[in-house]
Amino acid sequence: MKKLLFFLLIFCIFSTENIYAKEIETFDRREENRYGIPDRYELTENRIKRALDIPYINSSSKVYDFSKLLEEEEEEQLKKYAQKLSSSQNNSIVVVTISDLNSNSPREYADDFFDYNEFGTDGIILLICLNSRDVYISTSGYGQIIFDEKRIDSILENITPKLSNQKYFEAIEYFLQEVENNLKQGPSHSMKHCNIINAYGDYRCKKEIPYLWILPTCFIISLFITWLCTRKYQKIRLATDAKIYLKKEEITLGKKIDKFLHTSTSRIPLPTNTSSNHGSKTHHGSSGSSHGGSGRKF
Amino acid sequence: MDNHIIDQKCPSCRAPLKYSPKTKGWDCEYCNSHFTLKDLQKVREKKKKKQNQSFSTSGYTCKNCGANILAEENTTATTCIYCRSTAILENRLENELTPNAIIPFEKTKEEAIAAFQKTGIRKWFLPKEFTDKKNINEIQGIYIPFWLFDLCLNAKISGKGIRIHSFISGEYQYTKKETYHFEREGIFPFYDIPVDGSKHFDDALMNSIEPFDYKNLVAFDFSYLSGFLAEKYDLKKEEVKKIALNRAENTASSELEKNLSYSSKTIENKTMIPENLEGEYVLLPVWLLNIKYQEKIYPFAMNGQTGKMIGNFPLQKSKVLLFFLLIGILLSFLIILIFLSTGGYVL
Repeated sequence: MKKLLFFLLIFCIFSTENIYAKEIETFDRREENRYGIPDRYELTENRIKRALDIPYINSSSKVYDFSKLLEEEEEEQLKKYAQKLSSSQNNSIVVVTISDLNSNSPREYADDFFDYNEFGTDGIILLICLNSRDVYISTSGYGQIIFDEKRIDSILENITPKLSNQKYFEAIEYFLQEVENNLKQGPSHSMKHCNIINAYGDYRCKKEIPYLWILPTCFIISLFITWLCTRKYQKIRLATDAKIYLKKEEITLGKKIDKFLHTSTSRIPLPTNTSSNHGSKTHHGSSGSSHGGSGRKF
Repeated sequence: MDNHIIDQKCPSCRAPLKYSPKTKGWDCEYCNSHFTLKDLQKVREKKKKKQNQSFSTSGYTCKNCGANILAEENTTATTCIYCRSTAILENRLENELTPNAIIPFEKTKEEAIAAFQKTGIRKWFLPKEFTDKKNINEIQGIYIPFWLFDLCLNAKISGKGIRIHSFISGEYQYTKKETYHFEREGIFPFYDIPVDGSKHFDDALMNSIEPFDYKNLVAFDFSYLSGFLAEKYDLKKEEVKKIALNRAENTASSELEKNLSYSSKTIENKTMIPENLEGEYVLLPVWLLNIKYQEKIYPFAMNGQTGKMIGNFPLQKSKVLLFFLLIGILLSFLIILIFLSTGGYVL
């Protein structure tokens, strides 16, 4: 009888461990080399400060449900899906749910979570924050080329109502399905001719040669040049001055008056420093990497 | 050979004597004698003493073409040089003015033709045959009547000027506009402003061959006219002085404006008072050419003293079009090449 109770106790302990095994493994950055910040970023005070705010996790999981919005089986299914998408395309597809942003903006959190963990340089991350009801999608590296504003907006458009209705699994599943579709389709139409140029994910886009503009302007310039060359063919001109008949040495100048009358001052406000990178609304995160994306409230 | 009204006769052999721009004297083709002005004046003096006549000027009008020809009173005119008509009316004018001075021709007819042919160089759009000698329909060496005006212009201008200062302070860009009232005045002396004294000759053409070097102005003598044509003036001094005034006023005004340092100005008042206005009647040498090309007449003029040749040239439309297209295509190629070489990258 006592042995049976003992085994029952052991069994209960182990099963409860399974129930609470849902806890996500995070590591202490202070014990990691470079605070867990990838090598491509120089260590600065600001970056260290931001990194310490971000959990340092195992980057192979891809789905991090800190806010416990999903059932275990749901999480496992989505993890497998996200991992499949990540490894097959050299991209990292990441999903993270949290309860509080803690004075970070959704954009900052999403960017930093991606940058300060070992996800590589290219990818896309979906962030869901429960208490502030923010959903944010951030793209990194080549992810910026595949997902332009249009594609991200369309994903957000679809999953926001799902999130409002607490259909978290459906929302994240939809996100991953859209990511799979877009990866199959390749670069988005507006970014077709763009390429990544450095490790920070900055990109440059080829602009098509505007044949339509070049030809008319060149011919207008040619017209002007031709006019200049033909001017010397019409040399008979009526004289309107007598400059050469004026004896400059004998000129006497009289009084000179410059009387101040009044003054008026007007002012215009200086244009504020707007960023020049409006092509696809990219920005740089605290790490220095270039990110695209946007977010909503649900 | 042209029939010249003014025919100076060689004192030695009575052959027609013409003024030679090259030797600056009178050469007789028949007896190879050379005469200076002094020589001819001496001869004339002797003649006058014999004939007891005064030296006066006459004007002749051709009934056919209306040309006004200047001549010495006692020469016989039989043919009009301009239109070859024989209907010439002698129109003796009382107190007709004799020119004060003259610049004798320094360029010969051959030099005029050569100068014309030279104008075709480096004019790519000119039809090749334009400067061909055969197109020269007419070439005449004429002494054209001019009024030379001396005047002193007392010029005053006044108006408003604006000075603009721009500076940045805080978050704004400030533009300060200061308005001033200005006045400028000065006395400007002009010497020998030439105004064409004949209705027959295009003012613009005569303007274009300016300037003449007045250092070579000599006292007038009829002998200089021999071998050349001469026109009498038909615009009086009073009629044309406003043209000289206008030119002087424009120059004085721009000279005064040079002293203004404003970003923008408006001139409200201009007072120009001419003083000591004097006009002198002179004859200036001009070679006139009429070029006939493709049923059109192109008037050309060469300053008979300096050799400056001026005229309007026809443009060969096909050459102009070709040039325009070529340059356009060349430029496009260049720009496209530049675009391609940079890979067409834009941030």
